[in-house]
Amino acid sequence: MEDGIALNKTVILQRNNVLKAVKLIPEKVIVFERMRFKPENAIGLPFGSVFEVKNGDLNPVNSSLSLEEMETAGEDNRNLVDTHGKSQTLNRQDLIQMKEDGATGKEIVQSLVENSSSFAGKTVFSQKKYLKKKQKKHLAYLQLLKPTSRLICKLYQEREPAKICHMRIDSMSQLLTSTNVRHGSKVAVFETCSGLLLGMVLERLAGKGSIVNLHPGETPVNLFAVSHFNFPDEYWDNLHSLPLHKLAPLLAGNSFQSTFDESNKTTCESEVPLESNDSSTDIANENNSKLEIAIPLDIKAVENLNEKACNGPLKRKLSLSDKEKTAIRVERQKKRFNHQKAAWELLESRNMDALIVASRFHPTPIVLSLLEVLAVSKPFAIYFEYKEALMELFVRLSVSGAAINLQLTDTFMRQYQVLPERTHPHVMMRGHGGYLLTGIKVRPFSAQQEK
Amino acid sequence: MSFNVCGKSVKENDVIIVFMGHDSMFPLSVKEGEITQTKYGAIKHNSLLGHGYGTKFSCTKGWVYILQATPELWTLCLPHRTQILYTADIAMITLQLDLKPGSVVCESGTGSGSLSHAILRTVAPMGHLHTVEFNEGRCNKATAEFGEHGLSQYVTVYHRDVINEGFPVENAADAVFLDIPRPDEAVKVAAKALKTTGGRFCSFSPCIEQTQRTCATLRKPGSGFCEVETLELVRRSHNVKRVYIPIADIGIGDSEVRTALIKGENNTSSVLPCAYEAGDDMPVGEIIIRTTPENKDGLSSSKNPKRAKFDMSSSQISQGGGKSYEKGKTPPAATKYAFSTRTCILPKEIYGHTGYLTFATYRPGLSHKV
Repeated sequence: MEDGIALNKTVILQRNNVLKAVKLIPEKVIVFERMRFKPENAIGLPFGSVFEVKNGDLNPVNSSLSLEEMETAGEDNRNLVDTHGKSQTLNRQDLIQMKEDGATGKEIVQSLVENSSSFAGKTVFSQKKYLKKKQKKHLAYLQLLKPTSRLICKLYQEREPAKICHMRIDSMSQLLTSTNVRHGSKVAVFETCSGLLLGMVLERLAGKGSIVNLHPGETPVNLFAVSHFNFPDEYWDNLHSLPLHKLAPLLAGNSFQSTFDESNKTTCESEVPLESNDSSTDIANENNSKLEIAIPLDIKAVENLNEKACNGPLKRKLSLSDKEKTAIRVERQKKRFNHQKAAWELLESRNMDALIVASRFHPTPIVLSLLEVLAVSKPFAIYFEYKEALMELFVRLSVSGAAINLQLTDTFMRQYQVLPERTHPHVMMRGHGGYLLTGIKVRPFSAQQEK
Repeated sequence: MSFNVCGKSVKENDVIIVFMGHDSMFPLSVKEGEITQTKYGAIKHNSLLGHGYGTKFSCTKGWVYILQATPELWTLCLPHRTQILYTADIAMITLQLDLKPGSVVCESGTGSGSLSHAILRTVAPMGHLHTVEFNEGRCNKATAEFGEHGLSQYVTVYHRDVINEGFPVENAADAVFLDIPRPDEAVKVAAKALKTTGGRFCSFSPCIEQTQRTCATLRKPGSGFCEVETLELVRRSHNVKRVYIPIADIGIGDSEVRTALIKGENNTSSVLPCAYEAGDDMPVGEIIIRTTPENKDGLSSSKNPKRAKFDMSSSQISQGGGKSYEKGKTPPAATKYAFSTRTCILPKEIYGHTGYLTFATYRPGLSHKV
């Protein structure tokens, strides 16, 4: 689909492999990698456009600019003497002055090379490494990218690994692939990964199919990451959230009516249902309207309010009348109720196509119960940070005969620097990506199953 | 047809997976009147019709499970015509190429169709896969398989040499995947196939030289590619097993020795924990009484070892070794206690290398970023 950078939509900012997800709000200053700018100049341009920041605005950059490797001559390092950082004659003030005088990044790097007494004596590779480092600092531009699973996974892995139970990108990809999630699937998910997995599943469903999002607590707080994907409303319509503590009553045969009548004292919920172990996150916009985070299900209402907010200075709190507040709350509750009912009915039919679990909670009770709602011959995938919990689950499932093709796996992932005469794995790598337990359900779990 | 649409029970022409164990499963195309032999006996296809998926099917000498086909199971039991890609790499490729319903993908070479099935699963029904294979036999086999699996409408197989003739489409693909001997020579045609608005690229190469050439070509100014990165994945399976670790006899059975140690005269407190005092924290396993003699590698083969609290103060210790030994006989090396726990045992041999995955973004009009 042809689309460009637009207001009130999320984009992924990228500079030197650092990523950040931000919503482009008119007149709102974005802070990223020591740059401050307003998004206006990017509107309408295609995703992937390159910009530089000047005077708080974005300037599209001539895209034919390249980070070519400058041709240099060098020697080996037998005569190298440590200069203790004194080989560069330009200091920070000089550089600032040059920037103010309008020197381009290329010119700055050139000057740095010319004013370095040790540069000529470096080996060829050392010189290239030096250039690359300086170019990265003085020449790097900003790109605005279209949100995709790949980028959002990378973003969370780098910036907020604790929020996603320290999942590494390979584990995330395997959770999706090994459960055969596709257009039209009915997927049951229990995750405490800020909604990252929900977003990935929604992307693969592309509007057809459903997700039952079981969540701890009363309200689904784990939807942060989903809003980064910029899904159209129809996608959100397929996301049905249900509190996890309703699962046992459902499996026991209780009716939806009786279970929800009992706990129908919810007249108001907290405005900002952030996860309990959340500290302030700068994943979303710092001043992102709290209302937006709290009502992911009510996009239309939010957009209406946003328009209202955009016509005035943002620093001032949204001044909604009490009537408007109540109306929004009632609308929100109604919508949530409908989704819970849909989730209930889906689970009751015990006909889900896939089960994905990735949380900070012990997987055993969750998985043994959720397996009941999975149809036979269907796959499941459980992620957990530590293998002991999965070992226990592995044994229970294999002894009971409830699942076959059980596999407890972990993956070794390593990145490579591939350059002529300098190819080797990266020196630093992620030490840990968690463990996965996958299998296929063949019959309901029963502790007394004969093998 | 199992891959695309599948009911709850087996129908004529379904492709099913017959599961006898993780390393022994095979696909079966259900045709009336046919019989397939397995090590558990014959499977009469007529008996399969109407059988529920995910349930046991009895054969003369045992039983098997009948499963719905998925690309992942297909990968594990498809007939190999070439070396294939496995799930770990396939999962990463799917994510890194931004694949989703509606994506248009160009692939070369088709090979045995392992990745192809996974791509089709993800991009259907709105997307399409154009897959190019230069070996005619493999081309035909792949086409036949896609047909049998009900996937023909989402894929087109081309018999051509992608390097010389290019991909069959231009400015149309969201993603290009290469698994060919000389991927560097196909970078140009890959760029042509990709949409001018941008896309993703992946090349899989078993050898580092191929990878080096590919990266060098991708990084050439003006290629249109940027954000080049290379990685490798090794997935390994853990075998969950209970092990029994025998506890060696350090002579603590002798009650006089024990008393002296407890009194703590020579600061011998370091010895006592080795005897597993009662109440010691044993979070990972438990002390049991071994009921069978220690076998060679120290693992007890007992199925139901008696559990016992190893209590220093009790008289159990004297039974374990020490004073109760008969004169002249060699005391056993181990006490009669063992530590029992579950652990993960890694297989002796695993796939340590499949290939290097190189990913890049295609953004024409943009320079490459190193």
